Amino acid sequence: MSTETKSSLLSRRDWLRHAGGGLGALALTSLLVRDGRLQAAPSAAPANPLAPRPPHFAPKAKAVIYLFMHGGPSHVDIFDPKPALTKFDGQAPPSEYHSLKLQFTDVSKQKLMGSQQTFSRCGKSGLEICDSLPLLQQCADDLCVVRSMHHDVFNHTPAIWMLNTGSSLPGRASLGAWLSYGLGSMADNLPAFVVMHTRPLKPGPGVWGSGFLPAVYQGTPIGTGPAPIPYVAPPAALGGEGQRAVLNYVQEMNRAHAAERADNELDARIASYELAFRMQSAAPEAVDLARESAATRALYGDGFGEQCLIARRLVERGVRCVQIYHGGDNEDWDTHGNNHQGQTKRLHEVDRGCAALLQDLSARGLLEDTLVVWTGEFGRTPTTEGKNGRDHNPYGYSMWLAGGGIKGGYTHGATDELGFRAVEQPVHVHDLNATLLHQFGLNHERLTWRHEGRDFRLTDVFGNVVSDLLA
Amino acid sequence: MKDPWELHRRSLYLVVRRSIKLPFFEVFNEPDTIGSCAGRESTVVASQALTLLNGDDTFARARALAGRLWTECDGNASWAADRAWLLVFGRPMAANERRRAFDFLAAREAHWEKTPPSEGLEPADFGSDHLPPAARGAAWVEWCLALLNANEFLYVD
Repeated sequence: MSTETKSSLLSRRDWLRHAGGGLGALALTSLLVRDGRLQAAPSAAPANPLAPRPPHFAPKAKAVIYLFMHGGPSHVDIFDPKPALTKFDGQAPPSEYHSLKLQFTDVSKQKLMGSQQTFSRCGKSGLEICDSLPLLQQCADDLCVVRSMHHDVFNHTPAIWMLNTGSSLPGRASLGAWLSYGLGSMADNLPAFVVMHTRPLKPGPGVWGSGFLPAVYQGTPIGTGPAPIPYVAPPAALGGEGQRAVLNYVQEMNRAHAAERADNELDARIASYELAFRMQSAAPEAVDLARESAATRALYGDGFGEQCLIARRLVERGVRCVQIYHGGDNEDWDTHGNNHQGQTKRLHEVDRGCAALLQDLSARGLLEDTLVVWTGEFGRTPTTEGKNGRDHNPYGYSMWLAGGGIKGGYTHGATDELGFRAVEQPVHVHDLNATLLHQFGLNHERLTWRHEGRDFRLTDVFGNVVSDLLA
Repeated sequence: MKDPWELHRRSLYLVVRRSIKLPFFEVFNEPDTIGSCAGRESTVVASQALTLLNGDDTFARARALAGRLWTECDGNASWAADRAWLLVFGRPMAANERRRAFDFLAAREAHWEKTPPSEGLEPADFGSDHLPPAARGAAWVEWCLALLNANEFLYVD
């Protein structure tokens, strides 16, 4: 194959990028190196898209455990107590909120609904947390609660896209993919970005996808239970040695196949086979909770807690980003009816896992450089939906961060006295994502990927690092 | 189902029960069986490689392919290799590909001569008079497993 035919098949941009960074165009790269058009790499090995890369500046965090509460936790029932809402319970909401666009309800036709939760001031900081999170209350001094989160996407699927990729439309890269691209992987034998969820989610796997970034950066979902990773061992009849022979032959065919095409998915699939081979020895150990002490198992509990424990084990082994989705299907945070019962049930499901994770990370000295994020795609309305439900509210809601150079025992920003809108020190999703990248030593304005004629970022053209949140 | 061959069809024709999700489909982003789905998401992750390389389904297909090749080609290895390339990749085999294929098959057969394969590594028996000896059969099953894992087979060009 001549270079002429190759270049005519590819755009100049793809061709140049591919020649420099792809696994598939090794032959071409070596031609260019021979011609002195490209600098030879220090080693003859193909460029590894997951090789560790230095950040822009000294990082505070090495890894993030991102706890995603799917469906929308109700901020006025959890982290943002509203005495005024209780006082005016059952009354019509003030007209200034009637124009808020919500998914299912018209604010003007609803009633204000006070929370049935009770709240306590916790820790030395006196951070306010509802009493349905008794274990997390003990970690109050580690938490940075942001009460002034906001965006304007009021439906689940686009809002989940928004949180993960900075855009409500599909097609952009997720935070985990940006981190993998920006910093590479610290784990040779495990994916850089692992995702866990137990129930069907509203959006598809694109929310942990790589969008326009090379496909190798997307998240890898794993399950839970006794066999979280299906088929992690070769068929017994074949054995490990036979499998390596098969794999070498497959990879040889795949490289020849990819060399004639410019498709980063082909490179990604070649890389995925290599990672799969290495995962066979590393992954079963990484997710084997039987290796944890009885005390640790008890600390975390089961269900969501087990996922948190797996997350800690993965982070210990160099995984950069672990995302756990809690909720989904009919056991969701999406409480359009029976808000109090539904939210309380979800809070009890996550309380032990969240608290155990923070205490355990802290005891192992990992909390210092591991960011923990807890958020939903939005909050819920201070007003009713039907008799006792709450609608979606993206205009003001709460989330928390901990570890990774974040200020503990701190409550940031405020919603109005009823909890409709973020009014003091508002933090947009872009500001949050800029801050998360900042903790990894990445300047969100410099972490870019050229796509369709312009440089794209996780934060689009927005975002400011919220320095008040930093320790 | 009376005729098991009726099951060997593209998954498009498979009867799906909403309550049962097949792990093989799940790893390739099977849509939620409850709601409607505008389009299948496309991902490339290591768990898919593990499923294709180690999964029962592909292994059974590899054994069946090896059995079919030997049956259809009356035990002629050269024909069987040609036939495999046509069936799996839809094109004739190039000379260098043939060389590499038979290198692989010879090396693996030599391995299995030394370490006799356990049960479960023989090509599927479709009533042929020409099934290969154990070591050669195992090598062909491995070779077929490799072909079914090749991107040229997995991706539509």
